[in-house]
Amino acid sequence: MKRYRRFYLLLLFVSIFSLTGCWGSREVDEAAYVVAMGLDNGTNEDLILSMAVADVLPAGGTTEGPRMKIRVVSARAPSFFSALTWGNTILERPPNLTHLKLLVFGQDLAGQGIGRHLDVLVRWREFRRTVYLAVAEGKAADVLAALAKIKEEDVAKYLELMLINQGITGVIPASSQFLRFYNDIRSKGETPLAAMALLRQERGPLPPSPTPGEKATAKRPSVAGEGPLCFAGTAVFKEGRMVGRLNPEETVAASFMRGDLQQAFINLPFPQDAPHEMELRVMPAGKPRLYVARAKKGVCLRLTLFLRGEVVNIERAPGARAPLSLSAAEKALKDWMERRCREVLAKAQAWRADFFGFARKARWLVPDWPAWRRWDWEAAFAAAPVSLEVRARLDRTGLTLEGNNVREE
Amino acid sequence: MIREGRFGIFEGVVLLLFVTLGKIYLSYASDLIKENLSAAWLAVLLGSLIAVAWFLPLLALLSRFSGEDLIGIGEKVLGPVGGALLVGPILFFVFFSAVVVLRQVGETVIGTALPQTPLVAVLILLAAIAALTAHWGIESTARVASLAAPYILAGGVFLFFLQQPNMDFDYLAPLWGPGGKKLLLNSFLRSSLQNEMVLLGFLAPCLPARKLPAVGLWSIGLATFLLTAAMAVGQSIFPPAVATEHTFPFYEIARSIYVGGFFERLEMLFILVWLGFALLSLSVRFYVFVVGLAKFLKLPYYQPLIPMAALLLLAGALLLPDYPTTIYLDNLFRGRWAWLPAFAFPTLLCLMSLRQKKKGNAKG
Repeated sequence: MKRYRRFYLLLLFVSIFSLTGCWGSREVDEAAYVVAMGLDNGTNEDLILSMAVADVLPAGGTTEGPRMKIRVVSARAPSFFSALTWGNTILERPPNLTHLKLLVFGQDLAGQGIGRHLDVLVRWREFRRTVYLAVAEGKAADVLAALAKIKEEDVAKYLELMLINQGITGVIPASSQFLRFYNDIRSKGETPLAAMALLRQERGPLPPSPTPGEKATAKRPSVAGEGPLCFAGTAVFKEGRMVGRLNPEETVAASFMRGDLQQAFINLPFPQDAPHEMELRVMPAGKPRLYVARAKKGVCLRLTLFLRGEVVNIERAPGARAPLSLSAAEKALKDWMERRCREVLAKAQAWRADFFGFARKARWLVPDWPAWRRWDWEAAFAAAPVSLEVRARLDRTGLTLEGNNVREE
Repeated sequence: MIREGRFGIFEGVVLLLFVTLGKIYLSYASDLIKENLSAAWLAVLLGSLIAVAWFLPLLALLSRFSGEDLIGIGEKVLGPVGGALLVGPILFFVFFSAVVVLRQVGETVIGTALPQTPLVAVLILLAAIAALTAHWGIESTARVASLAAPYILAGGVFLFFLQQPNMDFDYLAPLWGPGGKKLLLNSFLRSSLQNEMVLLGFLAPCLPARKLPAVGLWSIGLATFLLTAAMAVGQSIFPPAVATEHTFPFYEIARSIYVGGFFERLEMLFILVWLGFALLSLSVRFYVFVVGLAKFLKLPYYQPLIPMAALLLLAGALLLPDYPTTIYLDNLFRGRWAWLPAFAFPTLLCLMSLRQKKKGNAKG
């Protein structure tokens, strides 16, 4: 040990120079954290990059009010990083994308194709694949500007909760994160989906009541109140281009078919008393079963949905005579779901966009990749007959028992 | 007389296992998937099974020359010159693999955790760690590895479980990937994935002689299972077109963990697990090279060689021009042709010893 004492002392002395000092430090509040980013197309193939930057105020102190302020910065440049650099000229801190929650594409850009903007998102280390994707109805910059009006103290949390929650209720695709989107865009036969971000007026009454026909095709929910943004509906992509859009109701059906949805509330006519309605809480009872088989001409597809439901509301007078027949309600639910799914399937086949995952099952039918590459799956999907089966079970009636009506008159 | 220390079956298995599994965290997966597409996991499984068959002659040789390592056996069977000609390339391969691993680990540290740090600073630190562990001897490394094994393995498995929501095993279809014939040929070449098992030939004197087959078979068996499982899990998260793009495939897997909206950003845990594997892998390779060189040179001690060998290791790692070249060379030599020095040469030695009917001194 004594022999090495001088050596160890020298090592100790040298190691002092490797210790970190203040000159290289990067404080947490010295970065401009981008919580949402928008991409629009400008003129001459320029890109317009908008960033919602969270100014995080230092913890502690006596400052009252929100701890996070949102500033929206936009810059036009030929490509992503040059736009980021130009945007930085009006930010006192360097932009940091590690806390990015949402990436919004303008509808025009989505229609023209977003393929060329995806590479930077997978290559740059600050970008994570857990980011949510949305397509703005209009300009992405406007959606980002709306974020500055959000009254939630933490906008990053607002976005995360909003997108998780809307995914649970089924009005946007639950799996609209970049990981699945990019996996789908790079896989043959898969169709990536993103949420639709809609701007709305915070003041004013409810929009006029739609006709039953309009109701089914409405692209936005009928709501009024505070909140400058609404996430509802689905943008359907093919080969990097947005080719279509599903409204919120269709999105619920599509989410059930994709096996993403956790629950949805559905209102149906009361089976024994048509003018009255009942409401059901519908949940998946298992993953949807997809089946693909080769047929003489092309393929035949089969989709089985497993649902379970709970009666949560029946619009009728208390103690009304006819109790609900669960089997009749189950049939009504099956019919409703099948009708909705058929509509979505018809749209998907018209777009030749398989967003249900049939292509993944079809891969097992070919022995190897050369055979898979040769197979024109899109054409096969578009022409395939689809057998749809909905297995629904209503096994709960909430906190009220059906059939136990005691009447005093 | 070089004193190498002694350790038991568990330490031996852990040591070989960690050196073999270290590649999971480097870029080997991307190239395997590029070559075998959806059947990459199958190529790993078949390749490993072929490696088991290749490994048996080495085990037989080590059992025949009980208590000897490959250098001693080579010398006994073929004489000093012949032995050096056959075992020398194996030792050079071990050194080359240490160089490539050092550069890859350095690049991965920079690419994933310390992007502002100069490469040379990371490489010097890693080479110094390898030198220090070599100075302490293989017994210390083996015992540290055995102590850390449960935690490091559990950490790795835990990370995979957290990816369960993102897994889709349909990405493993079409089953035969590039086609049956190509898959079989690739699998034969990919028996190189288990090339680290040749290190048993150098570590044999440290292990109980009668337990050598047990150490070898447990190591290669567990490595086969874990390498295949890791590849299958990785492939179920990213389809081939995406997986082949990744510079650091398993880092991307760790970055994609997102459970319940709050359980994310766990790659730091991954980096700790990965560094454990990488440092053990590097240290063992470096130790085997230094001790092997000392034995070739008939030196009574290996420690004086450590500084020069570490410098050589560092120089080798810095000589590689860039990361894509490193990956290319790694994939070419360690990934596809390593079966030659790792399995074919020991098999040749085994056949020659059988022909000459030479046998070592039976020591228990």
